[in-house]
Amino acid sequence: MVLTHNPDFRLTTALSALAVVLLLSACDIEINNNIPDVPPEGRFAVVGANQHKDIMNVQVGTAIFDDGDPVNLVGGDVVQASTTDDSILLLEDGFYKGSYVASLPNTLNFNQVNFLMVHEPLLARQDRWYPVDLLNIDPGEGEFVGASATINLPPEPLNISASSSNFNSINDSFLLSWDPAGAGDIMKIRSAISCTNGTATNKYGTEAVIVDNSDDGSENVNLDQFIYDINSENQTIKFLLAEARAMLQELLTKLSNGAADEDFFANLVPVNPVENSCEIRLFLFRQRDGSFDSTSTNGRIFGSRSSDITLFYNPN
Amino acid sequence: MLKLIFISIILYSSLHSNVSHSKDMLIDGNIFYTVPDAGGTDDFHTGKILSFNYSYYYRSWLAFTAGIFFSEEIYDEIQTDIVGTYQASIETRGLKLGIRPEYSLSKQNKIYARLGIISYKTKLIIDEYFEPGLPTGSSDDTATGNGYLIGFGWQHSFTDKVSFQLELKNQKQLDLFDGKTTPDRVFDFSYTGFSIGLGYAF
Repeated sequence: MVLTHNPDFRLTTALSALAVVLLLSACDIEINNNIPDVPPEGRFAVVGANQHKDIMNVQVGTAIFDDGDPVNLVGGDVVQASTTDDSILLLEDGFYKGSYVASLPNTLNFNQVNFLMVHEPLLARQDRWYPVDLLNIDPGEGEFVGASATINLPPEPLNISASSSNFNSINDSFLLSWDPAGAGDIMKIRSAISCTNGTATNKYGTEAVIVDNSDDGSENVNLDQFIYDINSENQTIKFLLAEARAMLQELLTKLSNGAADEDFFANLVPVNPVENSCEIRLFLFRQRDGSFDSTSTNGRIFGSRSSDITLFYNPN
Repeated sequence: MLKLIFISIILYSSLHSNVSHSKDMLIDGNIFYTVPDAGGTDDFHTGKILSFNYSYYYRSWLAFTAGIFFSEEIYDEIQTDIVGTYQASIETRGLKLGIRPEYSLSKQNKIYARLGIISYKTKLIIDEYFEPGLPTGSSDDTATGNGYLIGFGWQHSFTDKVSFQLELKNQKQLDLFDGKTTPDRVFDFSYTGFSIGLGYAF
């Protein structure tokens, strides 16, 4: 990897870099080198943070790309995520190659999450079995050290409700309501769906295409954003991709205390959702852009809070 | 402390023995095939430890033994984490003192146990690679301390003097790097495996 020592660029990159991902614990779904929309040239960072309703941790993740390829952090360079009260190093591999994740304690529900690239050769080796303080090989700081970024988490979506929770046709629709925050945030609707024919199960995730993603307190949603016919050529469904998929996968794992299937979104089993009973776990995210502390950093940075409701589809 | 107690017992027993054992001694050499285990995420390959023992029979069924051991360099599996790709290896050597109670099954065959304490010196080596453009590194440190061993074996005599022995055993080195690193980083090394060897009685 060729690194530059331009401080601004480094900030940007680093911060950006931080980003990526959050959440992505290693899964066996296809793992490309790139998160979609990562530019093929230059440095690019992705940073994300999400706190789900009733969970006292913020899931944080980052990734850095160089000319489209993920940049591995080595030698003790590691991203630190922190609130006023707590901090954590992002030491776990994320869902995508080159991404790093952690679960930052946030029992006091702070909104601001800071990211900083630090050089911690001992702490980064803390999971090794031997005394790393005695046997420390330190190549020195990398060029990203010092880069930083800030995310302010928006308020959690409160009082989510659907006008109906049981459906029998994919032509059905419902009104999703929540309390608007009035802060200009954008809303995302994602789902984790499980359909079964009694013997086999089809699990997948979708991102609903909504007409208006503003935080106005209501959205009319069609069921064909979640349930589809595998025999139809006219699909309106949008499967979860990129960091959204990774984030939701991680969230599901968190919500199930680690018991969620790792291949929840692998779309492996040929159970046709439109013909079978499905449970739709609908997640509403209120999302807000964060900022890299260097204006020259190129990338995506966002923070969100989420809440969920469960809907049921039964065609019979 | 363990060592001191054990030596005292041996000396006391020797001084109070009125039995001549000039022909009841055994020297044996063994190759110990073992997989070291540090109790963490380590995943060592099988390695060999060579040992030589001298046994003095205090009773026909009980011998006091002293010996030395030293290993080849035994490698851990290559591992990768957020810092880099690294491989640990160890070299160990030391002294051992113990007892060897035996039970004769026939004129040619006997079973025995081996119990004792050890004094070890173990060198831990870490080689680490980061990525192209960054220098690789190596670091090592040496721990000394005590431990114990326990074993069970079968001895088959080819002649009055020459015998073969097969032994299952565990050797534990306690508290490596105690006093040199933080208490939570102190660990034990356990060597479990089997050894084969030859003995010569005289």
